[in-house]
Amino acid sequence: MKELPALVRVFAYLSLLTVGGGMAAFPEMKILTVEVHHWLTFPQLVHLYSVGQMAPGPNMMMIAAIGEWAAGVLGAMLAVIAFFGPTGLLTFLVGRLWNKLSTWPWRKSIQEGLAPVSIGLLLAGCFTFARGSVTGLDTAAIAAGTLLILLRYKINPALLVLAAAIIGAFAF
Amino acid sequence: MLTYTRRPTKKTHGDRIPSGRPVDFGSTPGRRQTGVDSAPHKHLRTSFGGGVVAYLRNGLVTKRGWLDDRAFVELLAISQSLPGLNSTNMAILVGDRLRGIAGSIAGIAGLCLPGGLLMYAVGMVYREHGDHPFATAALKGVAAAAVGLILATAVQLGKKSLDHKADPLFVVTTVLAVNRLHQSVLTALVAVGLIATLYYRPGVMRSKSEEAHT
Repeated sequence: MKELPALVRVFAYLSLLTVGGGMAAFPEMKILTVEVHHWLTFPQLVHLYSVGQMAPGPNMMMIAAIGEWAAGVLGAMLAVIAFFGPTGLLTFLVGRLWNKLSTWPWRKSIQEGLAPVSIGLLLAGCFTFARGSVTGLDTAAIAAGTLLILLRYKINPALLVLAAAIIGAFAF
Repeated sequence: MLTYTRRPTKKTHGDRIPSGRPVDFGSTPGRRQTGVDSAPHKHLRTSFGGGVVAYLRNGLVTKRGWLDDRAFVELLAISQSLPGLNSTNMAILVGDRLRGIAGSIAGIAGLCLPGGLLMYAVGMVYREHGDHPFATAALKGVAAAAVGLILATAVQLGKKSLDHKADPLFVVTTVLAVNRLHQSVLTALVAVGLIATLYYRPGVMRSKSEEAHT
């Protein structure tokens, strides 16, 4: 139970960092959930995130699992509410004010400015994630293969992830 | 949600979300189609996570007729300009448009509950059996594939939304701030975001990287 306030704090904070997608918050998520609060290990975080890519809905629902590990069913619920609450409220309010904001000249500047930053954060998250998942030539080959296939061919990435699981199970 | 449809990219300058045109957003998740390029829909299939958005559009515009395409694109522009996941932001905005606060809550609950319950269960199974050698080996493969997936998303988003010559500099600065200088994501976001926003301040024309527009 003592973990509940920390869960709310951590996930509410992470929520505000998800500019351009959930991966932007990953480096911070690693520091807070693994190094500060020890709710799970880095390999566990990497595994949950990977599996979460195959779940329906937003690809960050793995936070429910982190909440559950830290503080049971209540932890899972609070983690999810804290993660979607602050940005949800902001979106709700901005949505209602949008007609006024749409003619605000700085709106476009902010949009233009945040576009490269959000891609930078996505890459930074990816490199942090790769430190826990690309550990040798074998995993590097799978990562590079997945990237090249996705850029070259139209294929459902779930199939590639499934293929990687089968390769992993038999080769590693 | 993992749905992936790739289109030839074509840049649009200025506002990243064109609006006010009747548009065809194409496929639903799981039904891929051959690439016919028409400008606006590319914003809606940003990536793997963006598959949810294509799914939302199919449900909200095509099947239910709750929104027209113009309203959908407008709400998507708001979703993409704010922190939060695109799909959950969309659910909140559409819910509010249809039924006020109750609609927003219903929208986000409907979007998150199935995946949340599933991952809750997956988390418990993983905690019990995740250290099984077979599971560890399979997960090692899955995690490696996820890196390829995220990089592919970054490449596609980059092609789509990096319009200006200065953009790569902002991307690299952000990456270095987080990964090399070990600044918090918040610091990098605010600092580089502020500089980039000022760089693109109103009334200043910035050169676009024309050579990338093929």
